[in-house]
Amino acid sequence: MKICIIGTSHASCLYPAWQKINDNHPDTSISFFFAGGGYFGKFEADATHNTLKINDDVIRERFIQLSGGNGDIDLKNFDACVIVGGFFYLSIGRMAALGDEANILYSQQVKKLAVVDLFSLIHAKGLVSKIRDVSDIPIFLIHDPFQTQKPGQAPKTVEDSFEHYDYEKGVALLNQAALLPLGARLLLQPSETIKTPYFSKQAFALGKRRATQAELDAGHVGEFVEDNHHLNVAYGELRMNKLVAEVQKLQPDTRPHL
Amino acid sequence: MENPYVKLPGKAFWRSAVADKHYLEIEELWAPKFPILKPEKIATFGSCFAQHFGSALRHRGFNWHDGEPAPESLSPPNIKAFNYQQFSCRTANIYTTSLLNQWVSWALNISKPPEIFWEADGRIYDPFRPRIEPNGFESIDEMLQSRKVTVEALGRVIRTTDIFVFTLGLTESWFDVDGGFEYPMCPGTAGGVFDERNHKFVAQGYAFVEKNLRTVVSLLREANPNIKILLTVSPVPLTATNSGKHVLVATSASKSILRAVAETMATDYTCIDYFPSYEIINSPVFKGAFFKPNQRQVEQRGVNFVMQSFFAGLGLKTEELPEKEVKTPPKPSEDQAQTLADIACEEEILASFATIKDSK
Repeated sequence: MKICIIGTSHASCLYPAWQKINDNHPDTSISFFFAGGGYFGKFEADATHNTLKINDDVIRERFIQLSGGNGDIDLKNFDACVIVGGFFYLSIGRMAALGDEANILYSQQVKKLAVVDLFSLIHAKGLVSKIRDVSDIPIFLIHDPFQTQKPGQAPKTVEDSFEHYDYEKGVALLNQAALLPLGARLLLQPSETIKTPYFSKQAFALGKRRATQAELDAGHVGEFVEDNHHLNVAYGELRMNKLVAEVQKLQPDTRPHL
Repeated sequence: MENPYVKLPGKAFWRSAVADKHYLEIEELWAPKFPILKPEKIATFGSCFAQHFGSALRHRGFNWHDGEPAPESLSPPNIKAFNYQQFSCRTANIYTTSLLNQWVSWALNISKPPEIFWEADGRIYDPFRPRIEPNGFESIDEMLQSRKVTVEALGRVIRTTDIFVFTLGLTESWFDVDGGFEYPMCPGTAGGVFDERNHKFVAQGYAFVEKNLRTVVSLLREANPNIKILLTVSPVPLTATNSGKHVLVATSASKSILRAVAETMATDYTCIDYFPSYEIINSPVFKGAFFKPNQRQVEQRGVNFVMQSFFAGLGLKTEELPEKEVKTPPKPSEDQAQTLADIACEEEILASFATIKDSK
């Protein structure tokens, strides 16, 4: 099976993880195309060649470094596509609140429309559309992982934490209402990595990393920053092992014509 | 000794207030009985025209009481399609004082709504809100739950709002004889099936309208002793009449009754005021200028003039009230914002039952 992973910085822990574990999956090859920030808008859909072209030289070079070729993503070469990150505006909590059966404020019809409307705002949605413009390849999505908890950090209120809403039901609603009709599916974050639906376990925190030039330019003091939004390679290994199994299992049922 | 007329202000005299002015310059139409302050919660209910009030209040930065908010992420087109933000709760149109009495009684747990439903094409519809969801509900339970949510929301609004605005719309009504309750629309028009035996037409007279409104006021004040009430009469003529009279004549009778009741109530209660939407649109002085070509629906500039008069009565010039960015969910790239003139009116459905007759 050939998988293409297109992602934001949240894919950066998956790449070294895959290097570590890929021997465990001899029948699977994965090509990575990821860069920092919300750059999905720079993809151009080339329907003639079933290809996504990136209109950014720096990102193109990055793609070439990761997966060779000329930086174009020829979807004919893959059996499934995975989008990592790009859920900047999607509140997982809001999605969970809509999907939870205990939420009796709205009809099912309203909940579905609300989650479709919610999905229409997220960065990844644009990329899903562009992929569909050129290919009917099954698409899997991995949302930005739950952040890890800084010392003293707590949700503002119980409602903000969404702890009492069912994360899995929220994902199920998003899939049913917005994604499966497009031949796409959002995958759950592996439960082993979750502390609450709001936070990931500390063991998977990326922790300290080198500050980017942008952060230094913005006045950050110091060469390193504490990063509780990105997760580490240990998470990446768990994620990639599950991902291969999930894609293998779900790929036949994740097609736009179904 | 001078007679009292000497001391009256200019607005008390037809010549100075009306005849000597261009109709768009007629002013001081309303002097509020009580202040309406921006932080105060203002709830709006009633007939189709009431939707303009809520919309204008929201857009002008007043604290319009949204007692049953839509999901945060629901887009503006879906907010409208599913009848959120039309009234302070999703009661749909409340055309008569008796229907308002019914809703208020449910909301304050004085009586319970009957668990009746309509079914069509496998979907379930609420007879008291037949168009609240465009395609009905998935199940009877879901419909009843939705109605319960609205009833409870109405109860909360009644108990916590500062100003309750009600637009009186109709005197023609339909009742269920067996159940003793009122429908917002004749069964068989917006949904359901008409049953000649059980569905009774009532052309409400002055006494009936007044009695129901007095009951409502009593219930509201018991639940919320500080509540203030603003009444207005919808200027929109009847779409259709079952009275046997010409619709123009029936409209006059209906609006006269409603206007008289509103006047009585505003006179009898210090907590009740009347705002003259009806006069502004319908007075011959305004030459019918605010009606669309069908001489029934109100043009946007008519709505604007009504609301301009409303805000002017509060001492606020239009230029002092910049259009406020209403807090709505972030919009998708296609901007389909709700317009002020775009209201949902179930009563309009009656027009579709008209047949074209030869006219002499």
